[in-house]
Amino acid sequence: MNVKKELCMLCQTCAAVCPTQCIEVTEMDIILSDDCNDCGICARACPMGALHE
Amino acid sequence: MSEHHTCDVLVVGLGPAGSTAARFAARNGADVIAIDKRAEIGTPIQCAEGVSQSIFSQLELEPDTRWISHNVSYVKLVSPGGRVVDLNDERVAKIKYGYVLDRKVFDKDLATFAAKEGANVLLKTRFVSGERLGNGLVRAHARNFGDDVTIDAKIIIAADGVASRVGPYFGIRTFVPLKHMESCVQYEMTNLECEDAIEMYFGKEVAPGGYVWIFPKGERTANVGIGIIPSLTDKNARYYLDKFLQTPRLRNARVVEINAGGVPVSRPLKETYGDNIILAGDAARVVNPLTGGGISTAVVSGKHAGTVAAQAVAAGRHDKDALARYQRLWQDAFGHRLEMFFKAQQVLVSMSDEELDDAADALLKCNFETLSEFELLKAVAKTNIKLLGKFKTFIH
Repeated sequence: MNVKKELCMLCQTCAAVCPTQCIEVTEMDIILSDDCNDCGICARACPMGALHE
Repeated sequence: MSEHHTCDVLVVGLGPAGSTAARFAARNGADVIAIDKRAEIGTPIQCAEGVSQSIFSQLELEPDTRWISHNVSYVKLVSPGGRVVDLNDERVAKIKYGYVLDRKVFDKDLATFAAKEGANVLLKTRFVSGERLGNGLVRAHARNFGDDVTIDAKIIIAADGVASRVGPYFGIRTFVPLKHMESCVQYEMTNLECEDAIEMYFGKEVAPGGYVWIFPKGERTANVGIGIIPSLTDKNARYYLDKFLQTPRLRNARVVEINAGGVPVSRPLKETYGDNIILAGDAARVVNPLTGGGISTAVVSGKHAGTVAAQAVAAGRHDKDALARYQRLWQDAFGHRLEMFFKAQQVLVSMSDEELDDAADALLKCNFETLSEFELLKAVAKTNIKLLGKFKTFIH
């Protein structure tokens, strides 16, 4: 998964729906761990369209 | 550099649920640490800020005018075909005013009250991971201004929102299935004429699975937002909201703030507690799935979480059985309502635009005693024979 950081609001919606819980949203950044399997669910949930496969 | 703290109760997250939990845990005699990753409580806003009058009694607080942006006196529902249902004092006998809060002030004050009760509030402190220690305590690893911090506690209250990171470290899975997640964007807009009404716009082309809202904040300013169920569309929430802004009324309005977030529109978690842990607020998914409103349920769950945690500590207990009362308390307070609202939300998501228009027509024929979701659902079921099957659950 790729993050368009200029669109990301750090709202954590992606982290909440991630089945592998591989997304961490800090106060300044969004971090995807190696556990990401590119399922794309986070991209569908993102209100801003900031995540892309 | 690393620091180490110990406490009876650690609260993670200082939204309404966490601040209320910290306040009531401290009030009931617990030694409390409350952490939040933000530098300032109350920002960014992740909600439309609407609440009912009852919230202040639930919090055991006198309302402060600084917390209230605007009073709202009625609700306006707009169906896909443009039927406008005004639920005002002409049609609702015992209508009560609601409020649009200023969450930046309100949330910060709730955290201040927690601190005044004795909670040790640590900002810029981000929960990183957790573990159980051999001595029956739990340890949270956190980062405070970039430094490592460890906090040992008897009980940890996870009030860290819909994407709770605390729960999974202590055996409570918190991830939300896509079909139960409302994906939301909100613009605070100015140059916008509003009545004293909460406005809600429905329809598959407007907001699939959800609705667009306009919540007035006074002085020609309003929260204009949208929640959609992302599994029902391949477009994102921002796309739909920007499309809605093309309506003539909003063309001259200007965005002065942008917020985004996810709202769980599911049942609450099956178990909102475990050994050494309680989940409160959005982390426990105690949200009204029909409206997405969660402030009231958050503060009630936070109050019970803090009180039960402090009482368990005083009794020398922090096992699952000692914390089970927490779930019974919030279930007694609003569990039945959330279950009914979940069923109603499932019905609404399944309705076609034509059926939503029919439901609006049904509402236009009725007067109501109070402005409650149950009364509206019952009215639709009784008035429209075509929708009776879908809504029969709500008649009794």
